[in-house]
Amino acid sequence: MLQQQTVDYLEGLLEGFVAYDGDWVMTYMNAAAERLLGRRRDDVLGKTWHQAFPHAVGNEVDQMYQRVMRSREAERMEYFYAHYGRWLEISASPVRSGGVAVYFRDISDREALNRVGRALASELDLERVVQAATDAATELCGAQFGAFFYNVTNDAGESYMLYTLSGVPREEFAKFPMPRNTAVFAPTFAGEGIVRSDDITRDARYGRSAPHHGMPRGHLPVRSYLAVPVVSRSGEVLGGLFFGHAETGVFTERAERIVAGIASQAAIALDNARLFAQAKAAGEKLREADRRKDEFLATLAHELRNPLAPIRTGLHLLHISPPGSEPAAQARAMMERQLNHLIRLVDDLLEVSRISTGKIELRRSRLELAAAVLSAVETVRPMMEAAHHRLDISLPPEPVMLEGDFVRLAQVVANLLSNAAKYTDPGGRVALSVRREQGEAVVSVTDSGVGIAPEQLPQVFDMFSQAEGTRYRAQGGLGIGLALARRLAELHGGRVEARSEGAGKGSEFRVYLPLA
Amino acid sequence: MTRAVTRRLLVADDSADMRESLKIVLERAGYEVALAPDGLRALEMQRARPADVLITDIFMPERDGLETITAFRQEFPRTRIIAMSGGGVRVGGTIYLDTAGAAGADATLRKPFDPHSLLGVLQSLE
Repeated sequence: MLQQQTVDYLEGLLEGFVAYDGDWVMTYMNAAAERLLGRRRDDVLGKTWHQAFPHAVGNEVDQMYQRVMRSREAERMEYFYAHYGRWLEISASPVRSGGVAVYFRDISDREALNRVGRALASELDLERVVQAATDAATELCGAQFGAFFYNVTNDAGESYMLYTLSGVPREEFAKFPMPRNTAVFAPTFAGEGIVRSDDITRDARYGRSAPHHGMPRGHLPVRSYLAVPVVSRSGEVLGGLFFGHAETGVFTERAERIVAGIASQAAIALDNARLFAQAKAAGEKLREADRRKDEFLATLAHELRNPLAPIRTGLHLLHISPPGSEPAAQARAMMERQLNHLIRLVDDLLEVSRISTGKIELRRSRLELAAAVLSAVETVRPMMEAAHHRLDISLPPEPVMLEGDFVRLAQVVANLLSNAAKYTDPGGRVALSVRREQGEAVVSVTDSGVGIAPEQLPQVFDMFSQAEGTRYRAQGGLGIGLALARRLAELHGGRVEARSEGAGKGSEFRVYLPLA
Repeated sequence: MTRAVTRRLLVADDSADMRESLKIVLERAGYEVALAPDGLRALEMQRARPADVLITDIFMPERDGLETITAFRQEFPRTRIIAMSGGGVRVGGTIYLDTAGAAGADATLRKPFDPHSLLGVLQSLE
């Protein structure tokens, strides 16, 4: 019936081809269709569609064929054929002489990848992403077990490796160390490419690395081996997917393709999970800042009220005391002190506002650092004396010249000194030193005070961050002195640093400033 | 200004100006006044020579006002207590002056207060 050349074309196709005449009798089935459907053409040729495939009667494919036969218009569908356990893409076209020609191909792998892709894309939890990728890849490539080794970075910025497993309980691997940069594993962790071996124990790279020279004792037997790097969009190797099977020759090119597809989807999902985690952390930071601002406002209300109380009492005293009397003089002096305190608070508040709107401007000139430092010492002297602190000052023999704002630099040092005075019990020691160090000027303020717990160290320079439970020590402060010191040092192109051996062990605050 | 019974008062506040000025006002009103810079000293002074009324700030170094109130309530149940605070400070969502009441202060005054109202409260506690 058909010309030999046409038959050759049809038999050469990778896709299945089947033809029915106008009475639904099968007139042709190609070799690919035999393979895909698992039927021999001798069994089905000459039978009708329903006779040959009784399981299909009434299903969506059947309905499509009936429509095409009637309407004489071609149709195409993607269909999960439960009978074959496969996704098929099926095209049915009317044949001019009557009947229907059917052309179909297996799209199970693509569908599986899409399914994994959808699952991964909707997942923002890192652990669930890696587990889903491991499970899907292990199942689809036909491995006995699979593992996903991936790098994570903790809050302290340290990178370390975690893993998930599929097809094998965690105990099986718990006793083994993490895979190292051996000849077998290196190409995967370096992101160089896929390693696929029918028998890894016969691979030239196998067994060369001490101490195990192959798999460690007790390792599940692996002959067939497949390893695919997982690389992010930025080119960073996020980890690797590893698969094993005790038999040889299990992993086909198809398996490699599927796992490579899953690896690239997993990479995107991991990137997303990481971005999500970053966004979440940023959100938490904002909420924390917001909480601190609320606390600051409450503190502010309290601190502004505090000087008002003695002022009001003072007014009362002025009313009831004869002018020029001792109580009247006392009241006036006290009211003046409290008023000055109030003015300082309001000034601080204005500084907060200037800092947060970035409106601090420096009046720069060439200056001698020691002069600014000594001016700061004068500012805090009454405070030091009131607390009976001993203040040791050490200045370098040579002048240290800077380009900066004299008043603001003095303010930086004064803030550090008053901070030291506040957070040190009466009769403590505060040491102030100025020196040159590696092309920078360093001002250091050391105290014998309450110290800083390690977990609070990173926040000491943050705005409004008076250490928890030590608020009273601030003695009417708003918790902005150190934040201001940092900002001013940064405006001078410098930086600040806090050190402490821990609570109760004193603190050191340093300012580094560029030399003129 | 005279009164039948001279009552002894103990003022605890970490602000020297505050306690000194209150001392003058209260002495003028006929009270005998002792001063303490913090809660710990207040308790020591009370043990040495008990006062009839404690007037205490809420935020203080060493032992803060709330702890001081609690300690006085246990050790000196008959001493009347007046708490003073700038108010508005929340700790764990609780406004501090309210907890002063809860901890057992007989009266609370929000700073700044008119000394007349302190004198009024003192009279009402007699």
